[in-house]
Amino acid sequence: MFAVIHIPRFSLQSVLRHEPELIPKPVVLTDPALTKPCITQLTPTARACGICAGMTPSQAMARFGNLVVKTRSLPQEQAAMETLMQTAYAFSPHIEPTAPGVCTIELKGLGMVGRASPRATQLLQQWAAEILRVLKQFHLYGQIGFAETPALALLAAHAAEPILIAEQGKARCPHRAAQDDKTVFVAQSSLQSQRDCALHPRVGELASLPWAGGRTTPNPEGVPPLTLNTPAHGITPQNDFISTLPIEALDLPFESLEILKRWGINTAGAFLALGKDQLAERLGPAIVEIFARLSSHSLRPLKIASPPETFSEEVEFENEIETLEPLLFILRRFIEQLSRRIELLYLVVAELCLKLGLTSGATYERTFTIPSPTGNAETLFRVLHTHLETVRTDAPIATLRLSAKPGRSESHQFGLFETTLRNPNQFAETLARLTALCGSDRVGTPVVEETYRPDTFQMKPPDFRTRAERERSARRPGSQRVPVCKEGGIQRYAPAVSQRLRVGTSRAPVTVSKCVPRGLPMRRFRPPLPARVEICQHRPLRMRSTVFNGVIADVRGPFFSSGNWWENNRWWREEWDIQTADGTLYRIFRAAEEVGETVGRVSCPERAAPVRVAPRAGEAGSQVAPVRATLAPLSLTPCFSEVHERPGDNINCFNSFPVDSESPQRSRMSAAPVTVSNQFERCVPPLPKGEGWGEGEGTGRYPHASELTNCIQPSTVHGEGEERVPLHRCGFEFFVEGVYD
Amino acid sequence: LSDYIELHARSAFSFLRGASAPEYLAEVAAKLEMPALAVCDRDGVYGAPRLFGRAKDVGIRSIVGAELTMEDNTVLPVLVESRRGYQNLCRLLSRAHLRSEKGKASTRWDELPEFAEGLVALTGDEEGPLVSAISQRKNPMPVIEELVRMFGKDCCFIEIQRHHLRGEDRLCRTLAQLAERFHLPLLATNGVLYATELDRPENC
Repeated sequence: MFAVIHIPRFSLQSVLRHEPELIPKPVVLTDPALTKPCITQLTPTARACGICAGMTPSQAMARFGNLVVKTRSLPQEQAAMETLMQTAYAFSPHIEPTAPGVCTIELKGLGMVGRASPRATQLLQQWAAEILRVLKQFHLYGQIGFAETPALALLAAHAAEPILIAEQGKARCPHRAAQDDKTVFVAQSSLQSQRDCALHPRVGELASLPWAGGRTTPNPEGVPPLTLNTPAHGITPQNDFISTLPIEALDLPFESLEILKRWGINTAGAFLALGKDQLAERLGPAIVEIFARLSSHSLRPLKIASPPETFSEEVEFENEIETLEPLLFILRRFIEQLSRRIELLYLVVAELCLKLGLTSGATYERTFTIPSPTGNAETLFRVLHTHLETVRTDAPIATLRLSAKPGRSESHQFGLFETTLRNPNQFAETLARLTALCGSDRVGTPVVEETYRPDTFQMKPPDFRTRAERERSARRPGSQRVPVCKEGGIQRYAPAVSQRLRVGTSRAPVTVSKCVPRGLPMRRFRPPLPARVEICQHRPLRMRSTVFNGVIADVRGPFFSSGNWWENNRWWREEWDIQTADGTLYRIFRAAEEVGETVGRVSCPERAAPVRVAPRAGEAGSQVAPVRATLAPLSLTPCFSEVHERPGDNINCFNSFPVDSESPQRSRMSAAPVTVSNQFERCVPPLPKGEGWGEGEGTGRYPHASELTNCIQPSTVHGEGEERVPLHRCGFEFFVEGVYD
Repeated sequence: LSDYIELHARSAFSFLRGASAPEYLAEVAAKLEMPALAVCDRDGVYGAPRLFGRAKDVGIRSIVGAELTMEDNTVLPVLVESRRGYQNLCRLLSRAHLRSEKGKASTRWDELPEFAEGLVALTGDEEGPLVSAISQRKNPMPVIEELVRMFGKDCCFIEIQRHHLRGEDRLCRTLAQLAERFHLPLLATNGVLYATELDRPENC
């Protein structure tokens, strides 16, 4: 026994699925792929308004002014077909996507097929009603037909209102039993079967049917009227759907159909009564295939298919979307649909992927991992809503695609010392709101990046998995980088990574970091403290910062490092380990990259304009990037000054403003670049109160931007009274990275 | 002329390592007034002819060398001292390539003594056998003893490089102590991968 789910006007229903309020209204569908725009499908209300298929939209609009014209959408049809398949799969594993909007189900093994009985029929009706109920949740209105063969079930589904069970009766032609096994199908209309069965308990003479013995005109062959045996199962046939099925439903060739109509054959029953051989002689061999389709013995094997594992909904907006509200409106419906579809498989939503197609051709894509997988549409919607509140697109939105990844609902077995969040989804939503306020790079869990850049980390979204789950995923093949071999203490990773390691630092740091034991522990200042350092021959002499102000007693360095010079975010830095007179060890560095940002603090205006140090003759500039592994001669002297020293760098101040004594002078000098000839003998000016981030000296009030006359314009307005100014724009170049304990 | 000679340069024929053509290396070396230049490409002497031709033009001496990938994946740089050394190096390279798949080479330690004549061995950079042993916290002395046994005390140099990296001092001190202990000369190289700073972006 087979069942066929048929979605009439499938293309139209696919389009109206996300606008159910239009279903009772007159709506027509046009196909843009056609050369001549015409109406292909329409709602019954539109048909009642005098509109029919084949009309042009303008003709239809002339019939009914408030007509809604929709355009066929293949992505929505695909999503509707996926929904149909997933719904059918929830009821039977043996399903076949027969055609768009048609799904054939084999009922074998479901426990509902056996000897036909009223009980079995009732079970089938309940089963079909449940399918239709689920489909109705997705705003798909289908019809279901049951029969012995898939072809007959399809015919029954076309004729169903909305459920039709075609039972096989026993009808035999006495004189042709040996050569032609005819079957007669009786049908029960689900809507009238109970009532009719009660009214007519024993009605079932085939001769009374119009296509058999009941008709007045003899058949062409003069075959005597067939007699109907009483059905063995005891179900009283109420109507024969084959007999009343219009002959157009048999998909006959057009010429044959015309001939049959001239003969007065209008139903499938009358067509079958003519006989296969006689019709084949007159109308050609194609008729044989029709007879075989209507035979209960022509069972074709189903092409069993699994429903797609992707759950996605897509829409192409007829009018571009420029505001958030209409987008959220359709997103909520998408989420409800996806959540229900996944719920059919007894799963929940574990991940959402939002893709917005802009009219400019660009796309915006974002994946949301649900911390605690859930099927609650409201929770899922809040995740998207929170994020979309911060999204600004360059162009209006033309298409929307939302796909969901199913997962199992959360069931954790926590350890004794492993705690969990009470509501991970709410926590994630709070984080998302914080991210919207502070920026994506400021919220999350800090993770060390795979780079040689010191103290580099990135903020990653928090991992809500338990330790056991993390270990399990780490053991999964491909989830982590596995060293392929060990060479000389260097762990070799995959080729691409290995190359990157080599390229970034000329391979040396790998070895050095491995061979040198850890030194003194260092407490880092985060962010690094700005400082002003006086340098002579690449050796820092004096430093002024919030943690130290005075002469440097001893120095180790410089140590060069650089990276990402093959990209836009290249960086380089020089480091020194310095010792002050009291024996404290600091690590300072000079960097050209943006070290950090200060929130809520602004710098002194005079530091905005860096002072140019006059280059010597034949020198391009005063800044020299460290160069390694070139043909420059090597020196083994401890301070390495010969290697990277350039003529003219003997006395050179890399400070960002003139090293002078008085603040007014600094202000004046910043306006006009000053040639510094001998800063070595000058003293370092005091650091203004409130500058820097360290304890101690920098405890004063930070000047507000309005108090400064020549202040740098803040790059980002963070809040009232808080400006975020990149440090490198403030003129700082030297920083204190940390202090050795 | 400069007192410094670069004896461990890699040309662009060391794929994914060197970035400069041998001719350009020779030109820059001449500009820096180096009297000679040695190019040690990985597992081959591919850049030697072009280096020789250009070095002759610019008036410096070219030294043939190669980096041998050993069977334990360490890299041993060797320099050619004589015609006999060139023959031995070519035979070593041929054997190493014949026993390996295309694009790779593997030289066995036990065949080095047979072809050590006329070759000068350096202990190499961070991929060399000596620094690798130090990196792995192994005893580096057997490595030096083995090199001295194969190449002789006069043809074995402790190579030292300095790239201004943190922690490098300790390595250099260790190498200097080893050189002093075994009475081996300490050879400073730069491990050149490109001739000038502008070539660095190509070194990827």
